[in-house]
Amino acid sequence: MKNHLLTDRRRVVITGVGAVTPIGNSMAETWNGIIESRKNVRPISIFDASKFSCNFAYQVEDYQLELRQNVPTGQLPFMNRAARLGWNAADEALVQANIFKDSSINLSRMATCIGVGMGAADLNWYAKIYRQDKLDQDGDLQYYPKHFPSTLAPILSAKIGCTGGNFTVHTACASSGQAIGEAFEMIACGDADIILTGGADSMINAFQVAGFCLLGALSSRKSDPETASRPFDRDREGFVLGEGACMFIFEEYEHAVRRGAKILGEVCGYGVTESAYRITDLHPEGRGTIEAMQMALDDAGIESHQVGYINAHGTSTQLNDRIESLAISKVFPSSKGKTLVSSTKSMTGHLISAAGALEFGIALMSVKNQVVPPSVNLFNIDPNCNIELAPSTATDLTFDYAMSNSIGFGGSNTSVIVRRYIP
Amino acid sequence: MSTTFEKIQEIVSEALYCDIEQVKRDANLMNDLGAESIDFLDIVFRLEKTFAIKLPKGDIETKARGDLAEGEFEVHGVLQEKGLARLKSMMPEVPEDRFKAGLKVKEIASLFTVATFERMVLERLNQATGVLQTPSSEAFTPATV
Amino acid sequence: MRSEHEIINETKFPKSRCTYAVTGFGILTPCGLGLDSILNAAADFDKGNGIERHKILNFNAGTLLSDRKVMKVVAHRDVLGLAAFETCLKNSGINKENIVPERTGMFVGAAPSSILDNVNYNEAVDTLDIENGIVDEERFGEVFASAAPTTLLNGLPNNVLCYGSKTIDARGPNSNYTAMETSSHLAVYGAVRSIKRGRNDCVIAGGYSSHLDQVFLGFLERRGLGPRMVQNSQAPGEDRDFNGTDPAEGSAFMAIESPEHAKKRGANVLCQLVDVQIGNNVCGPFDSEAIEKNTSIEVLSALIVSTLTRNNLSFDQLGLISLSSSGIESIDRLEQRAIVSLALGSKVDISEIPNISISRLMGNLMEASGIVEIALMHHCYQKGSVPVACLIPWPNSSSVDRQTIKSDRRYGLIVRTSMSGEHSCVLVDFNRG
Repeated sequence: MKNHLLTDRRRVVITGVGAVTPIGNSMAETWNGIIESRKNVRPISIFDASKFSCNFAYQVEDYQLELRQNVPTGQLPFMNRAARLGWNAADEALVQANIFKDSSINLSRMATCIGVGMGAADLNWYAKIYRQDKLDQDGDLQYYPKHFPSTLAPILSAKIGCTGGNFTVHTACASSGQAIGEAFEMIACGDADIILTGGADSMINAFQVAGFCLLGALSSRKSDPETASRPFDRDREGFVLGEGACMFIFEEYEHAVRRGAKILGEVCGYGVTESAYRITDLHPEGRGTIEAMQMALDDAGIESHQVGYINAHGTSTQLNDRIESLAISKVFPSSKGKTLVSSTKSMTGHLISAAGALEFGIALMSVKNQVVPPSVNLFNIDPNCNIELAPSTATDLTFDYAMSNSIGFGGSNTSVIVRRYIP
Repeated sequence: MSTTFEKIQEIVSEALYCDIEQVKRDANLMNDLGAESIDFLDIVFRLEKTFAIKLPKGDIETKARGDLAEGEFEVHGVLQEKGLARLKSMMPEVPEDRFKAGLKVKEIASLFTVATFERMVLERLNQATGVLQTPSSEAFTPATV
Repeated sequence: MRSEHEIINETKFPKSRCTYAVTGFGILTPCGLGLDSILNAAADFDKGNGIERHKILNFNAGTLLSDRKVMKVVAHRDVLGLAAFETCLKNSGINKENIVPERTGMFVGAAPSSILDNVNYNEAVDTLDIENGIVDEERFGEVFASAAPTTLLNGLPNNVLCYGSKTIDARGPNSNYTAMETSSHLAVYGAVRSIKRGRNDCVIAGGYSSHLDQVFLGFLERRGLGPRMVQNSQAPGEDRDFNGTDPAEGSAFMAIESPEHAKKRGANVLCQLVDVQIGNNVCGPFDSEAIEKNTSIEVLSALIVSTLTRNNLSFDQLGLISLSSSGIESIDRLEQRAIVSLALGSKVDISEIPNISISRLMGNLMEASGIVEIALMHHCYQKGSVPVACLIPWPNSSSVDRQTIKSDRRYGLIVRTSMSGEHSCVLVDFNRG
């Protein structure tokens, strides 16, 4: 495909990052967990999942839900589990980028752009609403949109005081990959100077776990949950849910330099497509996934062999891993031995709409620290996955570009490229 | 009273939003009727509910694999000669030329015709009632309908 | 704190570079399918006849959707969205043959899923015992194990994006946003940005909504946001004293193309998008009291001013204005104040510019409204005047507001504010010469 992208865009850098995940309460802790191959998968304790075909998940600890800063009392009841995780991750990123204290920031040029999930309905709350018995109308009904996915961005904007727009992006599992890409795009073409972007999600609730079980998408390896999420392994049989959030401060390069912000990396390419195929199936030849990666490479103006690491979507379902491998091998034909691939969902679980953000964060840490995350739970490589998978332990590598892929229900594909920043 | 086949026809046409006349015994679910993976889930769900039976996932594969030695049924997901032969004998309703060499385990669903579902349902019903039925036009009204 | 004046006069926004061709609309509202149905309803309304509000009746999705199978997977709101989408395709003449798949995409303002939409959830919950507000979760697991396999998909907020894209094989950049009443303008913003960046040359953008269930209406009531719903769904007339909005279901899409693409395929250009800007207040979501107290008029004013100035336009070039006019007093007052004071500052007699709205006629179309307003403006420009039913009086207007559009004013301005805190500002060029 011909590259039509305008090249006179502004540079976009990352000046803050925060994460709340099943393996860490900060980006640093999460990254340490990744290079130590840590996993935090266990029987679901949020609700009684004993009768479900999948009863385990990668859960955060209760203390990770305690809010790090006060939320105005009028807004607090709008915050569901995912929003709490998002708030905490955002706080870490905002503090790191010194947003709260830097009076030089023009808040009308700052926006929020968050990838969110389907919203989560608590079973008890829902039953009350639906049956309309014992409904405490002031308490429950007044905060009904707690179950909408779109309350987090306005709450975060209110906290920061920024007025450049709240963007809530939802494209299922590609949501936060897309939110990040759009934030990049907005700054690149001059619509904003600085954006809080990322994603937050938790689908570990009775309705949604049930929904995934019915679709047959979750692993039912109850006998050994530790190895259930096994991307690219021959015997994979479904994904395992995770929950969490990852947030970034994206900033126009000159803007960051001018205010003396520490630059962690540079966002340099974004690709986004629709497979226009089927709602839950990937196109058998990887259509859409291929073009998203190619578009990101074109946008970054680099050749495929320059990418040292790909954090794949790699969900551990038969279909995803096979088709994504096929797509990667088509876009990176001469990269055998040059581009390592892994999916970190074996350690974090599938954060659904927050997956793209977390995995972009891991790609950022990878290129920043010059370490490639390990392939975990990879016992027998699926011969149908013909890609160069990362070794089973974290590996030192000298490289400049990392890519993060997301593929969602509904056919959305995103690829985002991060570049190592050398001052 | 409708026959088992008529019931199945109705279910498939409802699940795929196609005309009932299109749902012939020899119609291939994917190629002729445009079914995708969630449609298979949906059809199986409707059949299970209507006929009060269970159609376990991957049943055909498990049965075809049977006692075949490792590597005889499939290698790297590709069906081998013996595996293909097993499938062919188990799925007599599928035209022979569909069992091409190189067919993958994951592509078994692409073989399915409407008659495949009819055969599976009847097998289950026979197990449940102990009464022998042929896939012709014998009237049968499931207990749950 | 800087003064309003200082903020407004800053030229901090980069200039917009080009215009984008609007080549078709697809609109589905309680008045019916297509813009004509709205105009007929407006004429009826002007004659004092009751019209359908709130709910879309007599709607046969099967005749509008090319792939009826989607109806078993998606929710009612998605069906509405897809029906408007396909109508937009027909209206614009866009089809698989005259687009480049990799450069065509949908940008959608999606309605969040309504909790009561999902029949499968409801059926499962119906069978459960609830004791002291606590559901037997173990039993839920058992019951749910035999629910329909597609249950989860019903709640996906990107169903319209998925199935719509499939319909025309649109495989290019795309997006899906949720932001209540500004959703469809976010979609238009995303579309324009993507064309500007060189990623797309053809986009179908729009939104859809169906928030008519008792839970959402109950919520609005508790928050003092509405509803002034009249259950028999006939037009209630004007209740100026009532504070609150009045949700209606509907969906609307429009085709946006780069001028080159529209020209190449010989499309009929209906109007041209000049600019779209998005902002937000800092009140937090669903807090109308905070909007009242907050100083967010500065944010909105700055957004409007920069939309005009960065395109070298001034207030006296506006022929039509459309504000939210949704009935939520704090929002309506805020928008009117912003416009009136900007007009004053520009020495423009605001009563010369008709203020039009669709919501008085049929209720608040929420996620769909931003597109319907552009379509309505297009029609008004063609006729040169505004139906009375769509005319909103300016506050303290001394004379009867103007109904005809001044012929030398080719630009229309649409401003929206959502209950979750977003502002949008869209500038359209309706010059047909």
